[in-house]
Amino acid sequence: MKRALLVGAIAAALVVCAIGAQVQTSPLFDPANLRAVGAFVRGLFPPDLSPAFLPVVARATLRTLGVAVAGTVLSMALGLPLGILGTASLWRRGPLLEGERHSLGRAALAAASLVARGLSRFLRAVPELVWALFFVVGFGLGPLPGTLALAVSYAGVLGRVYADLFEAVPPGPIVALHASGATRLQAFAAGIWPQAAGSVAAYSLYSFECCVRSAAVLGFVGAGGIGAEINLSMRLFEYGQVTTLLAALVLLVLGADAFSRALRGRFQRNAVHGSGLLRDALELRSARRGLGLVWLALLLFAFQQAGFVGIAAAGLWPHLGRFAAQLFPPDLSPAFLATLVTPLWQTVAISVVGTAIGIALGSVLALPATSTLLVADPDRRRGLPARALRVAIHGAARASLAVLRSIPELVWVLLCILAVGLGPFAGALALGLHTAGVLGKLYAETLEEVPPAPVEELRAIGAGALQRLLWGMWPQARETLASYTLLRWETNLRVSTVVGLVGGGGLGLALYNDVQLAFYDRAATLVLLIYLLVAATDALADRLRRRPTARGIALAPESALALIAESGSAAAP
Amino acid sequence: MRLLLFAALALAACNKPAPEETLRASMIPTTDPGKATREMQPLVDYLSRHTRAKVEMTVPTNYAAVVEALVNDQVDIAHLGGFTYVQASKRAGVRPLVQRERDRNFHSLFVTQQGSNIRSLADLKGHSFAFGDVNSTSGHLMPEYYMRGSKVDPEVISKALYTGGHDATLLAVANGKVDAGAMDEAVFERMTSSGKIDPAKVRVFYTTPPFLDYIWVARKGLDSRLAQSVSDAFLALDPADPAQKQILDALAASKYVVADDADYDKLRQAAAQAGLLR
Repeated sequence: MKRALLVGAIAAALVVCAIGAQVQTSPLFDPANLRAVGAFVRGLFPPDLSPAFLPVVARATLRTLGVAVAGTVLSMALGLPLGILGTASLWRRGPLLEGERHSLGRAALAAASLVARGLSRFLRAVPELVWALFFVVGFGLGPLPGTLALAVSYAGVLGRVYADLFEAVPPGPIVALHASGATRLQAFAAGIWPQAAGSVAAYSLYSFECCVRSAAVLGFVGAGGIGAEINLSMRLFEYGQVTTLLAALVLLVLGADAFSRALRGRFQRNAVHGSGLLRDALELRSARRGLGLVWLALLLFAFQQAGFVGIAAAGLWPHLGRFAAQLFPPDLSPAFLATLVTPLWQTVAISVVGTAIGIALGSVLALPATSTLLVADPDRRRGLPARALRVAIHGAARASLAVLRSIPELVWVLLCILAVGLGPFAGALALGLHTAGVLGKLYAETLEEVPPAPVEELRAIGAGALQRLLWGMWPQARETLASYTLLRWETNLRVSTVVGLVGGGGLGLALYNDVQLAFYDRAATLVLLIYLLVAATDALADRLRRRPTARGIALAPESALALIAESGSAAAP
Repeated sequence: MRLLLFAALALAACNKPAPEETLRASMIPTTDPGKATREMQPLVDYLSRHTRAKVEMTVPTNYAAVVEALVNDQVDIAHLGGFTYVQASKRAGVRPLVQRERDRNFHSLFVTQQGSNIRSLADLKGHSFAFGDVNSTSGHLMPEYYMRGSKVDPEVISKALYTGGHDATLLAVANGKVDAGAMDEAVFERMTSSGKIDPAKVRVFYTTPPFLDYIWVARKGLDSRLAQSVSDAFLALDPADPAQKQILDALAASKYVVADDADYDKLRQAAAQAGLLR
């Protein structure tokens, strides 16, 4: 009875959200829209590989990589102080503070620590695309605003992640250091950093992967790179160019992932012996100075690509100041706030409907993509053709998931606009397609990794694939699947605030129009609203996660992951 | 002795006239920004000669960027549309310079495919539609104004695509990517007469009443002599001179006239009424 009520409530909520996201089935079958999509798909082939276009692709790819590298380096530089100051065990509670006198200085530091945490939260709650939109107005078009947007946004992410890592180290060394009279910074340097450095390096590299994905779409709001070229080619209906650019984007993302995985492995191996990061840097200095210079040169090149040559240009900073001044005071007039109700509601609806589409499509694809269900069947009685067919279906499902996942949400929005026109439905559909790719992969991997014993027992008594799935895998995987899905909804809510920047409805559309029309005080209000919405969702999701589960699975580590699992690979470092 | 000679040379170098002034120009991207920059090279050369300043032209990817650059004194002269002019004059106090004679009496064209059954604004119901940039006067504001005035199905407007430029709109219509679109009449003429678009593929089914559109402006603080010499350069463009004829053709102009701010009051009212100007 209780369960029926819950299912009914969820169904009702979905229907309400579907209305909010203006879900319609008719545009999907409208001949005019089908023709537009058909023309688009036909236009994608052959890819434009002409000698005139390839250099454009190469330049855009290089620029995107430069923006990602420079953005990551800057976000680490900003995130580290935020993280240290935000670490509760250094400034606010725990063994370090026991026995210390309550003083004004101590209270001030504790307050500063809370401010650092709040600042991190604000920086990461506002999507990087929104930061980029603002910086484009403040700094002018080009890669520089994109780099700074990444720097600011990921500083918020890393600030939180670093603080979490610092708080999670075993307290033994700190207590010992404190007892011997070490200051807090000394306790940090000798007691916390050596224990956390390996993880810090690993998470920073992981955030680099996410930065590459983000950098690729910042061009949609004028920040250069691959996104800008995709936008331009879509606008000129040169779909063959879009294919080439998407291929370059996927290669770039895969390359960055491989690079970061390789390095991460090294840091983690070193981390076993103590300070992975420091040791590695020392080794670099002594044994491979030449290689170090190459790295430095590459870094400088990245900053040059990221537009840092123009940062000293006369008038840039006063100009930024003037722009910032126009944001205040935010327009809080009741007449304006009343106009925000619909976009706010649309944004929430887009995230819910998008996630629902992602769950549905992702599940359908996840089952054939699960190797333990389909191909790793030790049953040798089947004939070769049947096994070959199974392998083919498995491969096709995996490939579809990879394609869905590797095309960023915002590119999906542009494609969905062709199919269903501008508006929230295009946003929800786009979100759903990308989410299906992400969730499908996670679902499949979760099902593959459940402890095999119960499944094998079922197999031994002759259970088929469906029975093994229902009675062997599902009960074991349920909780993990639910937590992945919840995480994805959180991410999708952030994304749904920006799909409107390219025509997908919701708050993003209102924000884009206000920035284009130079109503900056209204844009400031919208950013505040986005912040509040994202912060509220985070709090809600945290509550849902903390709910004691039947099997008492601690899901705490997921929250740190949630912060950086921006899109695509949600695999832990 | 050699040292003395070197010093004398260095002094001589210092006595050279101050490096020539730079005039930073920009244009709203009514067509593909990359192409526009190339097409404007003859104009840039002509202005450089005429004003004796080094003219640097940048064409960004959207209209708002040009207004923003004017507000921030990042460009000296700019080519704006009617609505972007009204925005820039309010926000940055830009000075009107010159405009084409035709800008005083400008129209938007509604285009569709030759074989389509769209013959009037009312026929747009149920069809896909394309505007240009959100901030475009002839590609969005005035077309939408007249569409609303003649009670076109609001669904057509709310679902319209924004191509970002007039050339993209016409391409989209000609290639059947959208059923109809609204665009700048001068770009239409240029694209059909130059053979970029096969005139047999497209058909104009509605022309708006006249309104005021494009204009060249100077930023508020620009040296008035320099601003004047820019105006003079445009006013002196002579269609009888083959080289200057080429420039006029690239600008789709026959002749330039002095522009007046007061003429834009009607557009200001329309924009304010539509909630696009505060």
